[in-house]
Amino acid sequence: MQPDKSRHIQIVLATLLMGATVYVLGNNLMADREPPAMATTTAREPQLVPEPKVVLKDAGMFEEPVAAETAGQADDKPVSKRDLAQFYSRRAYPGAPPIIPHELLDKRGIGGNTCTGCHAQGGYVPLFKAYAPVTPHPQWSNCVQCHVPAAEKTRFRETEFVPATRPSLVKAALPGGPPAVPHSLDYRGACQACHAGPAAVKEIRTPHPERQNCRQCHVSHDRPDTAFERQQP
Amino acid sequence: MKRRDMLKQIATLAAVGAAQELMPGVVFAAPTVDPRLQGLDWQKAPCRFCGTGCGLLIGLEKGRAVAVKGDPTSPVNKGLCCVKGYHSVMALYGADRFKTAWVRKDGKLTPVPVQQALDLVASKMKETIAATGKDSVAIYGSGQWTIPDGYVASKFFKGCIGTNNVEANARLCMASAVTGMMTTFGLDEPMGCYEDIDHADVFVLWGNNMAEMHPVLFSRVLERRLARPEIKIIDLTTRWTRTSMASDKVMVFQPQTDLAILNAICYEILRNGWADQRFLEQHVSFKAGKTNIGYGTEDKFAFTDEAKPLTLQEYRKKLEDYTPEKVEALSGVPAKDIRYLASLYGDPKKKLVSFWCMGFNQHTRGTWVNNLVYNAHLLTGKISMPGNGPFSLTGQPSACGTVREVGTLTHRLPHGDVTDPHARELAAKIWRVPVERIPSKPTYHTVEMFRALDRGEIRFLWIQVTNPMVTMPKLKRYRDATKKEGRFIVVSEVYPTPTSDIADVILPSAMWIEREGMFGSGERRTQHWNKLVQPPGEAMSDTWQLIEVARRMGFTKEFPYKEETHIRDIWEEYRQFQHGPQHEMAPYDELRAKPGVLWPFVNGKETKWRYHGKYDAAAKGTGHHFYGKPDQHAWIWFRPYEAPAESPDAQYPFWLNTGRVVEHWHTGSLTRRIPVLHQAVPRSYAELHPADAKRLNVRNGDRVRLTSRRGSLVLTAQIDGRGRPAEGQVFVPFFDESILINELTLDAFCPISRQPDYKKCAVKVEKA
Repeated sequence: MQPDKSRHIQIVLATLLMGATVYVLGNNLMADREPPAMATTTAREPQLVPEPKVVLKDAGMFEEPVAAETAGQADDKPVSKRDLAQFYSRRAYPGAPPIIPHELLDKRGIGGNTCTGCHAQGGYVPLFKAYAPVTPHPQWSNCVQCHVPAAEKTRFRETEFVPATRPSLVKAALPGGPPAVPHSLDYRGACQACHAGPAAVKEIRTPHPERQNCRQCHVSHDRPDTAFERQQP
Repeated sequence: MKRRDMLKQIATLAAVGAAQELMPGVVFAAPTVDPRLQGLDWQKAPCRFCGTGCGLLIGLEKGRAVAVKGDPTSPVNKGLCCVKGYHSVMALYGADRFKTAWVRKDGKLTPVPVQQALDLVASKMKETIAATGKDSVAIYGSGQWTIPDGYVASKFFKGCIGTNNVEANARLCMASAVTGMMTTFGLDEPMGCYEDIDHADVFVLWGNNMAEMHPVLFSRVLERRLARPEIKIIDLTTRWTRTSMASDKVMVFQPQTDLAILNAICYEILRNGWADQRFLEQHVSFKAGKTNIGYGTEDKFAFTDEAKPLTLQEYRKKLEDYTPEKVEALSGVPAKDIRYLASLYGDPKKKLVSFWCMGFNQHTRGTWVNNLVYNAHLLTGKISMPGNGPFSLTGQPSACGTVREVGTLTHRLPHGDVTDPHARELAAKIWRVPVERIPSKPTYHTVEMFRALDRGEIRFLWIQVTNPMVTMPKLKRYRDATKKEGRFIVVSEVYPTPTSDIADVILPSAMWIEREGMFGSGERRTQHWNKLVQPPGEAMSDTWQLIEVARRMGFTKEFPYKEETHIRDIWEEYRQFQHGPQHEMAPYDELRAKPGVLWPFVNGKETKWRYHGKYDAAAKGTGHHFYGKPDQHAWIWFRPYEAPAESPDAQYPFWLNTGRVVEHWHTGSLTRRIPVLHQAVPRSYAELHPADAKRLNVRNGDRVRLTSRRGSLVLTAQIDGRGRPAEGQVFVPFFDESILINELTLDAFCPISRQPDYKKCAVKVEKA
């Protein structure tokens, strides 16, 4: 019992310390930030995102596994361990727009100055010690139209919703054949965004990211109602 | 096994067989068809939420709705949805759905079988009519009523019982848009369609946070600007929003001064010679109405406007009070910005669309401000052409289809006004009822209906698909009214709400894709969907509830429909009202086959732009033709600036503005039961300007008390969240039933539209 208890205390203390840091830094940042003039102002003037100073809360939702194992990584960046379980935990059903697992950089922001700063190209984000997942549709800039953060994990009322069955990962018609695409390609036609790169979910990462013309071999099985039936003359 | 599965398996077997022949000796695994490979059954339905009318594809599995995607064939959203649409099917599956009826016995709601509850509703209605007359029973519906719901309600109350006590919550959201169009054009609903977005060079948003409220359309605007950066978005607002952040120019004005800014634009258009003189001569008449028209805060308030003819010269003279400098002093918008805005309206080379929604409509001069934006478009002739037009956006999925087209308002019939003998004759003929039964005088508009309930003139009220115990302004008076002795309230609902809390009978409703129906969206698009899943328990569509009660009251002849075909029958019956090139509706089969059809649907063709011979079968000639008014003209109204009903003062120094957030829709009774949406915005809050917050010593997350002359409320302060009101203003979302902001709002309304103003009243703010 004893070691367990002290560990709990340590965790509680660490959490409190983190909370305090976020609070102090957050308020300092708020104090620093000059509100844009409320009278007539031209929007879209270049706004600098105060990169290293930003303190974001993860609302308890950001569980990006930050692996201790950094072996093989010259620059000591952790290997992304995003897996399918986590991938689905952020979607109400397969194909639903994923939630945002961290606080918004700028709640009023839209487009280029905010989300797409990290999620258009991807890359390592020291703030979260993780690689940013890449959006397959960077042309849409009102990201928070579909993707919303979770401020808390409460329920207003219980739900009896049952999501769609997850698509199978084994979809090759023949052993060793190229697997079919089990999801809709609308807004998700840029395959490399999710299936290649360091932020890709490991179960669906392509073993051959150098091949760019994915749909040369992988066809969509999203619309199964197309079984060929010859019309009788 | 389904035929297609068999075909698939045969194909797989054949492929394996062929492979084995090629590679003898290699053993292949037994071919199986993975059940998950079959995918879902995808069926079309319009979105349940806002008035955009996005086409959805609902993924079905084992008889349940399990997924959603945007319908790529829908010309509205082209496959894109918003977070509410993507999660919309989850709204069906809250654990606390009403599955049976509930009846209040000795003050307590107890479950009873639906048939028994329907008996009670019918007998209570008959009893009330016998005791206190037919005008003591009323129905209050909604812009979320399907078209058949509203049609049956109108026929039942107006044609069978013989009372004009039919209203809908669209009175609280669209009435000013309707009266604006009726007074200017003589006919309701927009001339253009969403395709205007793909042609316009300038988008002017009037008090309209489109990024959150009509996000799919706003994304379409942003998509167009991405391809052509010279395209401009101008945001006229009282509150800095995500829309402002995406706009090229933001003009923040003092509440109510939109009236003055629009007059200044018209003044500048005329002063600079930007008006289209030929267009004005051929198509426009000038009018002035009454002024100092009041605010309707007193019971039995009455107002009738009068159109006095004006000449262009007289109109110009009246506009001299609205020079950009004078309007700068009133509105806070610099004169140079007003001139810039006027130049965009005035530039003949720029196609311009004005968008607005609740900022204009929930306004004590809502009809006026609608008229004024039409003035700017009419002066320059920028109307009824691709990319050029004023466009009133809609808040509810069928505010247009059910309330405005079917006419579920006290003064309307499915075609025309109750005061018009021809309209009554047409209705009597189609409904097969004696014409004398349809009363010729309107009774109560929504606010007055609840006042009549309070006074005791209305004794029986049936509420369907709406939540007035969250949405009525000056809420306490109207909630107390429902609880008075001798009032009987029936509520058709899907979940417990503050409105079902005050019910004497709760009828469990089948919602959206649990029944067949049609919605009519904000661009005149009618959309049909099939019943896709079974409703829970004994839940029944609102259409069928009304039919059941009407039959119990003896109106079996008027409601002869069979359950299997009643939606088709009702549609085809209703369609007779709208025959003719001005309003022709598509046949049932056409609606079933397509992702929506724009009316007028004439000779198999949709009408994208009304009032122009090139696009509209009802318009004569090859140019504009405003056929709605008797003089075949559109009317430019001179409408002055008049102050709001209540403004901040020393005691209540802040403006209170209420509205929505992208995640929640209306009172949140559906969206809060969707975990993703609830978790994003779990409760309501009060947005403050940072300078005000500092003065009050309030920090983000602190509790603040808001108090108006009508009520008081404690909630959490939010500083620099998704919106930032101007200094001296507070913004509160109204979705939260435990933070009832309408306890504080004022029941002042536009005297012409009778739509309340939820955007302006005076409050004080204190640290709690």
